[in-house]
Amino acid sequence: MAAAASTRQSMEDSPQQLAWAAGALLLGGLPHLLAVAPWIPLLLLGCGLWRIGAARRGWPLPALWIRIPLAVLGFLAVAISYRSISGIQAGSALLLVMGAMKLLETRGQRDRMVLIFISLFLLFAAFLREQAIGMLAWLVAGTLGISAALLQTARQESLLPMAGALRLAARLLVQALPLAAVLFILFPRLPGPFWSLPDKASSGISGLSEEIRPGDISALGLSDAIAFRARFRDGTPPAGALYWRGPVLEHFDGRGWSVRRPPASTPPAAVETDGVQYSYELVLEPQGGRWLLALETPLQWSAPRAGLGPAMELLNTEPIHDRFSYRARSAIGGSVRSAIGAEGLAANLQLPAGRNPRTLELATRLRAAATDDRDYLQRLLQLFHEQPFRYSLKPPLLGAQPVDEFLFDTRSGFCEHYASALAVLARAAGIPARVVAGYQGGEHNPIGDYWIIRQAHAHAWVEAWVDGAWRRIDPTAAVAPERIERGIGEILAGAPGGMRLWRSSRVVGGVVLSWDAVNAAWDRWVLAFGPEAQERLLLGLGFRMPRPLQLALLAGAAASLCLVLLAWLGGRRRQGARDRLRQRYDGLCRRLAAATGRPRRPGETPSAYASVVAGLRPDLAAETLALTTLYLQLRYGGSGDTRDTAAFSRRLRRFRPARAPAARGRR
Amino acid sequence: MAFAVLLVTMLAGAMNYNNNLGFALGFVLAGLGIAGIYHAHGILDGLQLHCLGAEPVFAGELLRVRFLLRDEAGVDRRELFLDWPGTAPVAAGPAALASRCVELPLATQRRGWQALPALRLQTRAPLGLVRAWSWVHIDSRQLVYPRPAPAGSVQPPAAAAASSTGRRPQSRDGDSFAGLRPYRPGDTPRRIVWRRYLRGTGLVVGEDHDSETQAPPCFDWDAMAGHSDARAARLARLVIDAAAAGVHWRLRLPGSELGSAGGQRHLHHCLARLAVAGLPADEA
Amino acid sequence: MSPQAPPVATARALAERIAGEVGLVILGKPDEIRLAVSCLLAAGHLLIEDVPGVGKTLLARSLATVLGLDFRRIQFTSDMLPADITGAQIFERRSERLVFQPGPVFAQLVLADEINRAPPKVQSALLEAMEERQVSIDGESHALPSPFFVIATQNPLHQAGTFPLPESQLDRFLMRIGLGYPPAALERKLLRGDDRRELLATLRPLVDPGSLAGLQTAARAVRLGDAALDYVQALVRYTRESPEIELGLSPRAATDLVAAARAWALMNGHEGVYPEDVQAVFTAVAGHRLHGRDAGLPGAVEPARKVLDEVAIP
Repeated sequence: MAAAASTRQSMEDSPQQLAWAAGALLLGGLPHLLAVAPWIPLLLLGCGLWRIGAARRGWPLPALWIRIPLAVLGFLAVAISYRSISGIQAGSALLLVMGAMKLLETRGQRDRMVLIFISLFLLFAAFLREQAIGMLAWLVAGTLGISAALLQTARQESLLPMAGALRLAARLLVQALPLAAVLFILFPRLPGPFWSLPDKASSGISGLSEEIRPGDISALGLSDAIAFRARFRDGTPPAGALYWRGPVLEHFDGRGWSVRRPPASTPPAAVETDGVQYSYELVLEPQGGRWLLALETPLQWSAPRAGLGPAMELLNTEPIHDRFSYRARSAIGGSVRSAIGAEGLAANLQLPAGRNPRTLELATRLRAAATDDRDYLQRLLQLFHEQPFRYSLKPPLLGAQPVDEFLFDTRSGFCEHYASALAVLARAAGIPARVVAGYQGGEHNPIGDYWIIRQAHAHAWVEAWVDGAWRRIDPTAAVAPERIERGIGEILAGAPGGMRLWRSSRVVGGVVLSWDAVNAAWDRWVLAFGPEAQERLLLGLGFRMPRPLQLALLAGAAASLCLVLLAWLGGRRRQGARDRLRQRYDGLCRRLAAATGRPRRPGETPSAYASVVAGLRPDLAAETLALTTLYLQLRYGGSGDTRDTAAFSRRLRRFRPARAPAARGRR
Repeated sequence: MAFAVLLVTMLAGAMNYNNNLGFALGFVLAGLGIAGIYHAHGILDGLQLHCLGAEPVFAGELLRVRFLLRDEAGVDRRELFLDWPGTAPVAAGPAALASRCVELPLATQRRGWQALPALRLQTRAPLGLVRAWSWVHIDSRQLVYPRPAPAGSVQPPAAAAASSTGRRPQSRDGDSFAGLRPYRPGDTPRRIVWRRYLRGTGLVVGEDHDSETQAPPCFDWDAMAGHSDARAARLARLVIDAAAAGVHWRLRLPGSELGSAGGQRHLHHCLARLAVAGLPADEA
Repeated sequence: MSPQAPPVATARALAERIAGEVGLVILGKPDEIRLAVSCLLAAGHLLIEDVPGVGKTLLARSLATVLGLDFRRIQFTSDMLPADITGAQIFERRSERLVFQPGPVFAQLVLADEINRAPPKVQSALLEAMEERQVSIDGESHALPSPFFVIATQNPLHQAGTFPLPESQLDRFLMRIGLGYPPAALERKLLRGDDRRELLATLRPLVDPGSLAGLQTAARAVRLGDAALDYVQALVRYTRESPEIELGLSPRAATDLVAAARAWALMNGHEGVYPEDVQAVFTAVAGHRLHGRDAGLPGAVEPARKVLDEVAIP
């Protein structure tokens, strides 16, 4: 009894086990180290070195009266550094500090277990921070390493060698996979969030906004970041028709455009169109807004919590904080008839009084010259085309009358300037008009046959109410038609001093596109898998609109099936493990018996039988003796190395003795 | 338990942030936990356990029961522990395709056959999250000798006292023979009392204490007072002393008599009989 | 406690040299010599059962010489007393005290010649000594030298005035071997050649007691895998369950079988105990402990042989 107790004592203090637990902490903490306040990695390093010193050199571990103030200090330091102790950033910082502190007092199995759990939670927190495909590798490496550490920590009697621990951990993880996959697919996904997400809201996600103020921007920062990816299901519209509509800006304050807040009673738009219809699937990156991008006139969409707004924009009930995938069908081209009330039309004629007088004057002049609204709008576009307007990403700043200044003085700007000016001109002539923000074009990825739409593809254009239907008018196309036809990337590549997109190199471009295809698949199949995707999948499998409870039952049933399968496989494997060598040898004996006509007797030793065979078939003697010796060494010599066993099996497979030559001679 | 809390927290977090990698991690860990249960079960499953019995001990001493554990399934079972209820678990598992012998102490209270209590096999391996255990009922009983009465507390039977305590009567010549008789052919030379021969008395032969002509002491159950445990204790002390003194003895028990002999084997034979003497038939 | 074991290859070479050296004197009996050597490597006692004049004594003597052991021969006779073997307290005239005079059993290698001629009391005195490796006289125990081997010989024929060893006594011999007549060709050579006894004088010790103990340690260290253990157990179980065998092998016999098989495996340079090692020693180890129910009837097969044929190698 005493001996057993002392054994366990010595195992508790084993430096290797401590090293495993500390390694797990490092593995879990690594993705955070660069992101947290710099004093935290230093603290971790300090505590780690102290603990190593304690384990190796017998340094004393800090006493309780040091550890408690230290822990309080760490807690306060986190609270001060982050001005909070909740949220992902502060939470992971706090976890790291806790891990560092725990390291200092880790003595027994229980303490090491706590370290492992902290590591697992750090790993989890890393995913909240970042979900790129690279994190999948981290998921695999992290779970493998930390599971191996858990295996070692749980051992009281003997440690496994490193490779053995990793192998066992890998085996356990592989066995865990089917169950994990079933749960991943079937576990009821509830649309979150349940509590506030301060970090998400504060970390500004670039993208479209509900407001544009062309005069206030001197340079348009074009970001390479991906806004969304789209895949057409049957037939792709021409590149020039790819207008992805986002927020519709109907309110003009003389300087900028913003989304109008219509009265709550406004019914959603009813749409009628004769355009060509296209189906597509979109994976939207998190953007913080409520709108779902869609091609010109959305007719159908698969997002159950989305609906058409009064300006035919597709709106979700909640802001999109995570990757979100949906399918939609839109009509492109033709005219769009939608019931729009008088209130809606009036709102689209609104102009602030006393602003941009020169523009209003121009509008009155041109309208008088035009035969009808359509002709008027055509003349406006011609104006942009013929007058020396320039497309520029670095327009000068505009003053108090931005539209006037743009139209008559600077004549240099990007899409927002033109859209804004056109919309004001249209309204001034009594034509209802609005600015639409969204994306235009996209980059086709031939590898995955889908379109990548980046933030750089952001665009703004005008919709005007002509002949009882909304018509798209893009003034930018009149100024810089190549911007529309070829996409912005190429324009920028050619522009002196402009942003040179390194993607233009063919080789690099290919690699980049392949990588993006992988990322797209990752986003589409894994990250965008949410309540909607789950519902779609289950409907596709023939389940009728499952409720969470039914889903839970289904998940339970599938999981149980997995478990039974696992148990069955486990039982089968165990049965075979020991006798494999023996079975191989029996196989050899059968072959030899067939070759010599003399089977092995049960009480005959392998060596004795080998010499009998050697006497009967001298041609087989060498290999038979060699194989027999190998078998004896493996089975009875107890070298028992799996590699040797495998080598034996390979050699055995190659050994195909022919029938007795005597029999051949007779034939 | 802590692991379950960890998992639930993770899943709640993943659900809140709608974080699919978080879900994946949570589910993989859940799967890991389940696979761990199977592995823990596998450590117990297919184990060969043989009870090798124990060397007999005196009542009150620890019976060291030996077990041979063998793995033939290629499962590393080193994290397997054995215990009786109420004792500290002893690491007992063999490595893959190996065997291991362990000793499990078991307290004994009284003489007689002691049945082994149910044996518990348990392991927390591989993950330390769950404990798999199994009770094994061993159909084996071990003999416990009576606890001998304290040394010196029992006097050998008076009739045999002179020759059984090892104190031999010393003749004035200092040789160690109890009596003398004329030499007969066949007597060993070492019995010849050479000193007498030198004095001219002819060859005489000494008869020593263990000569077969003199009866060895007989320890009699019925001659002892008290209840059967007390008798067994006293007789145990007598035979132990006799064996230590290297003399022969006889042991008379109700219904049987163990013939005159000496040495360790006879001692154990006698103690075994004393262990069960006077006990009801179902205990004996 | 146990001496340093030499590397396996060295141990094997040394054991082979011992057997080879003895083979120079005892012609045409390599297997028997190797069995005898492995018996000694397994630290067991050897019983040679054969008719007189086949070289039993010579074998014992050569082994003693080659192994560097001091040798004593005891010729057993019907009028012997135990003290003739173990020794006795003798009166020493000069000091006028009784001192213990060690008997002939106090040697490292004792040849107990024709052990079945002595009365049972004498036999058991020797067998006690073999078992306990000590002799108790008048309550005083005297340790026998170490190593301590007994090679006993007995005549297989139940001649008048012999006392066959009872089973419990036979159990104490690790092996029983027979020597048999030499093959005719060798016998010719023998007849023509020198007196073998003179050859004996040319033998030189190959090992000292220390390295002999090392060899024994090496033999004990030979790996006994589960598969081999299974085979040994299957053999033992068969002897206990077979209706044709009177008394199955005792636990001691099973232990002896393992020890002998290990020594044999060492001599053959095997990495562990192979089935052939078990088979090679089985007859020698189990033969004298097994008795068929139909023993003595015409056509009776020796039980040990039958066991080997019947029991499948796992």
